[in-house]
Amino acid sequence: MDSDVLMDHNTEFQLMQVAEFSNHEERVWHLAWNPTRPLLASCSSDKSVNLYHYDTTGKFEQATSISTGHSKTVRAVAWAPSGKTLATASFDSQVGIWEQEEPEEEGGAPGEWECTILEGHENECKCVAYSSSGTLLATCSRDKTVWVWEVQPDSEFECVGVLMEHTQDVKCVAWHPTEEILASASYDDTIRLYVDDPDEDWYAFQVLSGHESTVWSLAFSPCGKYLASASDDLTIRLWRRAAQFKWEPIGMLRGHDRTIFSVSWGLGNGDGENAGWLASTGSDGKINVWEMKAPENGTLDSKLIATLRDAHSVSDVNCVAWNPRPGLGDLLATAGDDCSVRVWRITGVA
Amino acid sequence: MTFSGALTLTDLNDFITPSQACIKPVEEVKRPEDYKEPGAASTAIHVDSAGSYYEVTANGSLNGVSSSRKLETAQISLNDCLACSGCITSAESVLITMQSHEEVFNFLSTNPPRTSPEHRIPVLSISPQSLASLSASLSSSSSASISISQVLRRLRVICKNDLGFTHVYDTTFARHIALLEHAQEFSERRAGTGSAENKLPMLSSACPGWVCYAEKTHAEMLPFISRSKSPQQVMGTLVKHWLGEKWGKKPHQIYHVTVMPCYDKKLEASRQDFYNDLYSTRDVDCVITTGELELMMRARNSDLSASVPDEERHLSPSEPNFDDLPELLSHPGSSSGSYLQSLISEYLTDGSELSTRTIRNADYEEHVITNKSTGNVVFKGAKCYGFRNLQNVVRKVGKEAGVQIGRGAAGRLSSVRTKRNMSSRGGKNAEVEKDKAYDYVEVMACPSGCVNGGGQLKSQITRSQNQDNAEETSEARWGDKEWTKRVEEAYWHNLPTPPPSPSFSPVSAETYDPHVFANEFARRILVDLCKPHNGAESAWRTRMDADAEKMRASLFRTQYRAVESNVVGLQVNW
Amino acid sequence: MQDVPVYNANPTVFAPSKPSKSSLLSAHSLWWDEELDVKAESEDEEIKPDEIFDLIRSITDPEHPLTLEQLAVVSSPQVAVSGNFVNVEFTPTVPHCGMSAIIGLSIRVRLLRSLPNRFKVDVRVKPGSHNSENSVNKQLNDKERVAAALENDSLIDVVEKCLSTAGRRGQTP
Repeated sequence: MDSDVLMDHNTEFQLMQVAEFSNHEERVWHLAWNPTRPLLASCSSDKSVNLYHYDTTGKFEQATSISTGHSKTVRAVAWAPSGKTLATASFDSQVGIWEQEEPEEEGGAPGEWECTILEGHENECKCVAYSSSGTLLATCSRDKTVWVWEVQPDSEFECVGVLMEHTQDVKCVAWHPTEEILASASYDDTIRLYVDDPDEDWYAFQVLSGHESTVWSLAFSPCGKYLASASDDLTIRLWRRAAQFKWEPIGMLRGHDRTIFSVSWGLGNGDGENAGWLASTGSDGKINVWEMKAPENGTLDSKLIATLRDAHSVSDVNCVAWNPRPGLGDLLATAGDDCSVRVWRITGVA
Repeated sequence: MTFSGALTLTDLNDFITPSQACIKPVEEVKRPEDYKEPGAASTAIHVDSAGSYYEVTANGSLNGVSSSRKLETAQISLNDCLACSGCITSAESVLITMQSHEEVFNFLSTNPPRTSPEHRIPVLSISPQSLASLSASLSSSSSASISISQVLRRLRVICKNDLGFTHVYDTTFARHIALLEHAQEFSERRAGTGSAENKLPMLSSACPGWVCYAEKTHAEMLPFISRSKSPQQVMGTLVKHWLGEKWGKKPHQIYHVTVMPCYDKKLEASRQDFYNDLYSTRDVDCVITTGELELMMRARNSDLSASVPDEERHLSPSEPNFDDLPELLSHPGSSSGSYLQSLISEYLTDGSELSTRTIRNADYEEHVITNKSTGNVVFKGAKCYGFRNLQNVVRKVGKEAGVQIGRGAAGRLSSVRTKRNMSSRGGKNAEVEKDKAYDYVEVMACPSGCVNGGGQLKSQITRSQNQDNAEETSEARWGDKEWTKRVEEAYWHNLPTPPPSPSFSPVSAETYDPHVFANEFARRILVDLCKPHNGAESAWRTRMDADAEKMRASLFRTQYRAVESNVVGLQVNW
Repeated sequence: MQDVPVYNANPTVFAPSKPSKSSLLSAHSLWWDEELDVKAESEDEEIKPDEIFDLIRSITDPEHPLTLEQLAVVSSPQVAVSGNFVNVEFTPTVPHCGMSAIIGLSIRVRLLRSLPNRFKVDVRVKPGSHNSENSVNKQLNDKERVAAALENDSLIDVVEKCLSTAGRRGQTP
């Protein structure tokens, strides 16, 4: 399964832009859809986080901008599963945990965003992610480490693991959609998978090798049986869970001609064998969407169903993210070097 | 018996690893003619077959003859490592070359004979954790278990006969003194009689990995770290000063080697604070790991599995002997030095009770002493091992003491409303009361503490080979955990001096109590070295006159300093 | 303040070539320096390798008061342009040169600042010219590492110093 897609295909679907925001002053690095509320968050080298609101008709507007107080680029954002807490990862080595003050009176306007700081990384923090239960938070850094924090009441955090497995810069952390399995991707070209030993510490149970350059992004399939990884080697690799603690490669996708910075695996449109939609983007400015199918025979089939060149004009696209909320799985957001955030809807070609 | 394979660079697993490549700059002495004429330079650098670098003047030199000059090789000392913020702890390769078993062999082979005035007395002091590692290793390949006292006796023979050491000690008596001094410091801090800087909670200082990490990344923790010397450095003081004087030798006429479970102990010994300017010598001249000692014995074909005469003889002497240091004193509590336990036993009385709570696993335990009648917390301490738990201690202590954690973090988020812990806890006074701050934390960088140090012998548990990747990993993990457990067992097994409760009370018993004897021995040493006015009246836990206290501080305490980040632009790793 | 290691104390110096014709002809060149606005008229204009070379030839070496051109670290034939893709190759003065990453970073920053943003730039060391060729190339072309480097004050000081002479574009000051 090595789909070579270097030309535009006549695809069944197309991406229609539904919103564009250019409120950031510098490169936009990352995006996160709120899992419970109609909010999208973006973060930028301008050290701010912007929140955008959307209504049922699909109309988007900017809700607020948070000047984070981070002294350097805000590289990544992540919502807790509750949708109430937002985490930021910054090049200033800190992680910010943001919660909005309760309204002064019932029904009143919500208060300001307050921040708790997590320190520990030695230098640039690259990514942050909440586990599916919201009780764990993972962060990673150029200092080669991955940290796991336990989220406790009252904005307390306890470090439950410092994983020093990678030999280089760690670019991305991602949690399994239902279990407490953590994956990390690195400049050392590998992916590592970790679990908690209940009596002991977090440990790496497997190294996934195969990529020939930096692994930039990871996305578990919504069903949890697959993992996609995007790399500077211009491939997206697909991995399948073969046993409880064993993952194996099952395929490779091509379709970009410069570094792939981001992958996102959405629910898709819910067909029978549907394993969701996989979107990717990168330095070539292209958005690709694959329809993933997992038929009974155990294979994972992929078909490129939409592709869009120059999604952010001439710029790199740094992040792609599917809306995770039920019924909104056709919404995709991207962030680019052109300082813009764009929202797209994938629709069938009539 | 089979020892583990030789330690190689990649085997090192001290738990705080160097994070970056070494950035120590090399000082270049520029000769005046350099740069005289920009654009006219015309030399090149050539590398010869031996890997030496030569600067070659190809042409244009004054006499037109090409010449070459050998370039110096960069040298990096452990002191450079301590003074540099480039990596968190030690550059491993530097440790290996500067303080190694080869260095020890080198010394021993070039040491002039005893008759020569240049002769230095070679002394070896071994830590009980190293003995436990050797004991576990020997026992795993033998039908009977070999206790650490047997190991010590055999080592004494080997080190004297095969390796050429004159004296061989274990460091438990030095630890006994370290614990006395440590308890003394704690009571000073608690009573507020120390300097204003001496704050509570007191954090242990015996783990050099932790001390180094704090100096480089958490300067705000330094006031909390105990100033008492570690057992290794107390041993250095005893050997170079007290024993040296008994032997009629000056500090530089003794060569003191310690055997430690940990690579970072090499860094500790290299600290400027432990360098004697007067005699140009260190209290500990060279630190080798348990693994390196094993390498040395192997190089001399020494067999530690062979028993020696009298190796099972009972240790307690028929009558106290103050000529040689007491050996293998046991201190109940932890296998990493029992620092917390020594304080608990001081504050635990008949009217109070101790409760222990394990947080997640044995590497993080809270110990609380409460007054039985009032319910008040008398003492709250914790044992906290491993880099991860260390982070939580830093966070918790920082919060409780109201200091901002992290380097230069103050004011970083001034433009944002930073959530104050107090606001979320408002109205929960009862809980706040219960959540009393720590008085003391025993901090070690390695999970499971010193028995699992990076310098210990590798696991002797064979791993099954024909398993798939994932299971093999967990198998390996299990094997290492299991091995650490065995070393821990060896550490406590068949101890010659099982004390029911350690007491630092004055000598009173007629029967031989090793701790009472050790206390009396320590008192004599204190009097010998500090020369208090009231002489023999002094005991370790009494306050002496100012001069004597000053002497005590210089001999048994030390200091810490924050390492400033002073990396210049060209050296920045990015 | 620490002393700085010198990786090549006495490098060979080469005579600079004349400023390229195009830059001499167009004194109001769109890329004369980064202060000038890059206007829409440039959008589809072809850029010649010589023009790219002009932008970087006068960058000062981090450890010598000499330009990259004088040290033959960069040269016109080592620049390739294809549509919106620019590939710059440079040759470290010695194979163990610890300054290579800084030199590459300076080249990258210079081009970031002076080329219209439609250009995708790759900066690499000449194959076989450096002991850690792959790692230098990987670092120089990792946009996240480059972005973080540009937020590091002490590093950016060094880069700015290297770039302070870049505007000369081969002319003597």
